[in-house]
Amino acid sequence: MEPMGKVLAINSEKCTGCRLCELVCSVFHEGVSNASRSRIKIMKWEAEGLYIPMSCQQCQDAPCMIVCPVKAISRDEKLSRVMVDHNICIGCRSCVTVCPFGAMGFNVIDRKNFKCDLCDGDPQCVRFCEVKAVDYVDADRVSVAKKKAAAEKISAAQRQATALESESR
Amino acid sequence: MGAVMGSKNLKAVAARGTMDIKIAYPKEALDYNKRFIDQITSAKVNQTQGTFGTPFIWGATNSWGGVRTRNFQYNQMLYCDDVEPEAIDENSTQTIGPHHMAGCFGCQVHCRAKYKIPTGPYAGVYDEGPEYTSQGAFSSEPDIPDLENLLVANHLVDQWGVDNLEIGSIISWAMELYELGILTDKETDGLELRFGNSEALQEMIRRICFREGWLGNVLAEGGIIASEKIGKNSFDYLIQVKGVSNLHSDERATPALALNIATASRGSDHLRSRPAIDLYHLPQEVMRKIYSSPVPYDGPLSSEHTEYIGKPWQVFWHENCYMGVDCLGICKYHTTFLGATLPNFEDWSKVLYYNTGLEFTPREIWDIAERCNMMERLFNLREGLTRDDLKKGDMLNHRYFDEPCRRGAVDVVGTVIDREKFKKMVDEFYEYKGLDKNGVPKPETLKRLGLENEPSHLL
Repeated sequence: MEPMGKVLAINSEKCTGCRLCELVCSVFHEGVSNASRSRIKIMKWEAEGLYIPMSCQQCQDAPCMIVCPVKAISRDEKLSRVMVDHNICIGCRSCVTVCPFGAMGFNVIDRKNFKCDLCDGDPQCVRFCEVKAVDYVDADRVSVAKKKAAAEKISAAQRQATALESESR
Repeated sequence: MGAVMGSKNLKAVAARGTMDIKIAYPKEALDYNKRFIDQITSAKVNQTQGTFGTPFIWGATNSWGGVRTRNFQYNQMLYCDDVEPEAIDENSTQTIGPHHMAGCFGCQVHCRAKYKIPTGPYAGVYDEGPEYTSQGAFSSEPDIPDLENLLVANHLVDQWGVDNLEIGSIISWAMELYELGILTDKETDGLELRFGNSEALQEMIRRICFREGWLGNVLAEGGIIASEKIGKNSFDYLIQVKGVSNLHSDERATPALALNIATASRGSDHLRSRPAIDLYHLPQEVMRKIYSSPVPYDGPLSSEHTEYIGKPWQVFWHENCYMGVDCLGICKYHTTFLGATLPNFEDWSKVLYYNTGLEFTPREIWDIAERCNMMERLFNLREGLTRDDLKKGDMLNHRYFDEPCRRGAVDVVGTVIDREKFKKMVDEFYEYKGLDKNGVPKPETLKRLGLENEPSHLL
């Protein structure tokens, strides 16, 4: 099996909720500025200041791929992504129903589903996100930042414990 | 419109659009927009703004003496560590997390801070800001150096949907009137409306919003009507232009900024024509480059912010710059408002072309902006603008000319706006706009702007 390529890494803590990613996504794919046709969506709780970017996770055992009755959905291992062949798709929306992340959209004009295709390796959401709440990184590096943040907490706790110990002596 | 909505108890209309907006040249637009955005976000001023929000200008402005304090008695707030941007930032960070900024739709500057009120009866309540304007309205003008008060007052006005600048300024004016004895316990229903009293400030915000008590009801009418009802010489202390309260930035040491608020068409409005970069003491060559495009200008320019030379042209240029971006839907933080390197008429022309396919030269955008400003002028004239009228004209409160700055940097202490030089600045500004000495457009100006028949009832 080929080694896994790059993936979208989302850090919702960094997101400023501006939704530029939604606009550039729709411009890139549809040639129009229309947030409702974006593959990435920012879910917002305005009264709490919470902004969570949601997009396709490009699942390995993708439920959309499994449920598709006409096998229109397949994995493209070269770019580690799940792709839809719209020549085969019958527009039944089973994939929309089954996606655990709500990442499969349905275009009411074309009556076909649509999803993130990582812009063929140059994701526009990443290109335009100044704070890098959405990043495009090697799959094996996704957890490194989180590991480091957790490790920093542990090291701070250790320093505090040492200080307390020396005080109590 | 606001009055119609108010009469129907309607606070806002929310709409959700799902239709396409066609982009003329999608690929080129993405590439150009990326460059345009990078130019905006790479400016130091926007990086700082994206970290602290608008309060980032507070520290510098207050230290040289440019912050209106105790209504208009001082030009610098003392003992204000708690309301410095760093203090606000620290509190926000503790409650929200390391990345605590919010952005407006599609904007990468993300200059709006998110916070939770850390202490007191409102502890844990979420809100956004406080902006630089709230620092003035709820900290320096009423002279309350307390973070919790700033965050709570900012939250109250957000909840009740009133303007922070206006309500903070009006209450601070009432505080000065109370201390002078023009307002008494009778009018305040026993509320001790003194400077420094945070409970009085918050209570007064509530009373104005709900029109409670004699004073709450009167102040809710706005400064000019309130001054007529309060009487005596209360109007002399009201810091406003055309009925809109001035920002808490003190313009006595900065003639260009004073000319801006005096002539702004919406009433004292720092976002209409403020040449804020005047404070940077930019080199002559940089100023020449900015101010001689898209229309030529070879008149004088001065890098010195306390000067009167060349300022009318700067104000005229910024008036058209800001109207240009207002027409285009671009934020002023993406213009030469606060940074000399930010996009300009030439860049808007391109961004407009790639995204919409519309072809406008930089000069054409300038002309449209000038025409819009003239339309506002005509509106104001219809509503009774006369040049030196204190309530409707292009004139500042007498305190700008008569009360010298008492605090701040050495070149600021003792300064006032020179009445004669101010008059000359207004004359020169009118000339650039094509107005006569009374501020009325000359027939040839209206013809040049294609407004000779509009509005017909004025001519």
